[in-house]
Amino acid sequence: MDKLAVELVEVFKLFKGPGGTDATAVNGIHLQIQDGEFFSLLGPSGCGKTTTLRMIAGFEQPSRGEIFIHGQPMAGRPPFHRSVNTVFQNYALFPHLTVAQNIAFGLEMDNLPKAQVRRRVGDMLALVRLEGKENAYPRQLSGGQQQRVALARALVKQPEVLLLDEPLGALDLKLRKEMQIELKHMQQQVGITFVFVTHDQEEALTMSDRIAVMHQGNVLQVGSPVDIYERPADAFVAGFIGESNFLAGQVAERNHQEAVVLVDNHLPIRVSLEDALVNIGHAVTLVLRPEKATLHSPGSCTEHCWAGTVEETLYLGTDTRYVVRLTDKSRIVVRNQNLHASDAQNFPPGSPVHVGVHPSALRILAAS
Amino acid sequence: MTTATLPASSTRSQAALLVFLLPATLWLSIFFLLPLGIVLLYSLLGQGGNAGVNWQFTLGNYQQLLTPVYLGIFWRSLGLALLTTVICVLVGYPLAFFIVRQSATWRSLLLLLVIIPFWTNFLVRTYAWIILLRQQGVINTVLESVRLVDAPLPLLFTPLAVTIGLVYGYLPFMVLPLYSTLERFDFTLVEAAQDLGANDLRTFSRVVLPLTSRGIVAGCLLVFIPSVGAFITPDILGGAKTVMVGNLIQNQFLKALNWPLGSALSMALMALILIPVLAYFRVSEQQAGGRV
Repeated sequence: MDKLAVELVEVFKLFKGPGGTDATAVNGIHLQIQDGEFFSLLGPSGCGKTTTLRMIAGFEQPSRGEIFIHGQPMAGRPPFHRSVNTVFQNYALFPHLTVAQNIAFGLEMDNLPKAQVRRRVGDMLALVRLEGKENAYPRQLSGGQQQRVALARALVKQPEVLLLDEPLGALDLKLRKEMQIELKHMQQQVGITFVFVTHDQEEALTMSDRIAVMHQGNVLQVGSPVDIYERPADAFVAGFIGESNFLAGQVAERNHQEAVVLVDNHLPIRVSLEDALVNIGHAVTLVLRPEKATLHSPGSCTEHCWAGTVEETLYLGTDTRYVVRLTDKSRIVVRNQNLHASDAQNFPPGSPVHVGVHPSALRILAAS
Repeated sequence: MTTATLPASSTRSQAALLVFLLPATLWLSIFFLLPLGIVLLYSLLGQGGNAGVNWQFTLGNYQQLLTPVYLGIFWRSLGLALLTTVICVLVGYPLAFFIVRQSATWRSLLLLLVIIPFWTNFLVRTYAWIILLRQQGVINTVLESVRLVDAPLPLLFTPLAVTIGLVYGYLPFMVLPLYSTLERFDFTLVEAAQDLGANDLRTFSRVVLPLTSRGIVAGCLLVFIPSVGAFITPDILGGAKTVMVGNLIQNQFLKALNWPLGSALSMALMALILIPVLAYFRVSEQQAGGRV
């Protein structure tokens, strides 16, 4: 069995607050990161993901709990004694050194011979496609180029784990998308374990092998992008990743595979029971992803149809997003692909529609 | 390369610029350049009666400067000023570094503590050191009562006393520019260096020091220049044994009434200061030019 690249065992981090009270940034989390995987820590600001990353790097020590890198305990070890390197959010390039000197810095700290340093710096410059920029200073480079220098500087030391703290945050959208793909390919090429911190769920879904969703210092769910998206563990994850519809109701009937949930006391909805343990009478919340429902004109919906009225439409190019009112209390968002150019005009606001939802498209979240 | 005609607005703004510069230029000319010229002139004249001059051009004043006594005093002034500067760096840098790392409230408080001595008269502060350093002074009393020494140490009227006085007086001039530079320093660079394998010493020497060198140099200039020409501190704390250039000049102008010699001494002091300062500016220009 492969040794885990990074393991966190019941790690807490408390900070002294202004009034003398303690603020819990990280609340007893467990993480197991496999060797060679692209692992993301995803969550909103203040969820503890950056603090967690800094503890792995050694810039903070856990208040309680242990951190292991390839089985080695990291307690008390400062950053310069860990074979872990970081790409910082603001790149933190040394302004008084050239690109080549920046990249060489870590190798010089290892006291490597000059010839070897020069060779490895050259290889790294080729990998990040910055040949020719050896003698430039950071301030002469664009944001994207600086980011690649920061990456090269960290990778050249061939660390056991590479930590990235929202490195794409300062780039414009198009460059960001390009760098996401480039980083993913680079990770696969180099084979090093990447631990990537981001608040952008689309970014995490695109790049990661597995994602840990964090909120208020806790890890809510760890899984592959598909797992996280299709089988969110709770309402927060469902709401944070992509868009979700939440419908509250009571279980009216159930059999082996399905249940009927009465939403808002009058809309019966059939739901597949995958792993949910519910009984008749339980109050539950249903989650539905907008793209899993289809919109039909009344009469053309074949089965599992709910009647409703379109309130709003939003044209998104690839899809159209509809807000449909089902009952007095519930609205749902439906996204349908614009397969034909005319699709966008099919259901203007006010149109009566039938929403088609297969039972397997709905999930039951644990009752709160 | 001049072109045919300048647009009207440009000549108008040029004229406006000259008008704005006129008061400053006038002031500098009358109260700086003119007196400087007079001093230069006097340095080349002979001594006359009653602080007057003998209108005979001579290089005798400068020749007097080259005698061992005067050269020795120049040398000592230079040495003490350099020593003061070095001590100020060694004390001031850690102090500024410490202050910068504190929370905002503590920083303001600590900076205030550094600046408060300025609110007291410089003369009074210097006299206070006499109370500390003299034979029956505070330091000696404490040392004797704790039996660390048998007899009182001769602390006052020594180069040590002068150095202490200069360091005390000019330390804030080192701390403040250093603080200013360190405040603008990006401490994530420290984390980056540590991440790449640098321990504290190497992080300091390879990253922090080079990037704060501007502050160090500014502080050094602000301490060295007044120290070389100091005369109050060596007068009060140095006594007859620790005469510096400043005292010499003071003597010649006020007591010996030998204004030409005093002028020559002044010009020599200026040269002593200008040479390192100009060298610094030349070097920093080269550095800045080479980078872009």
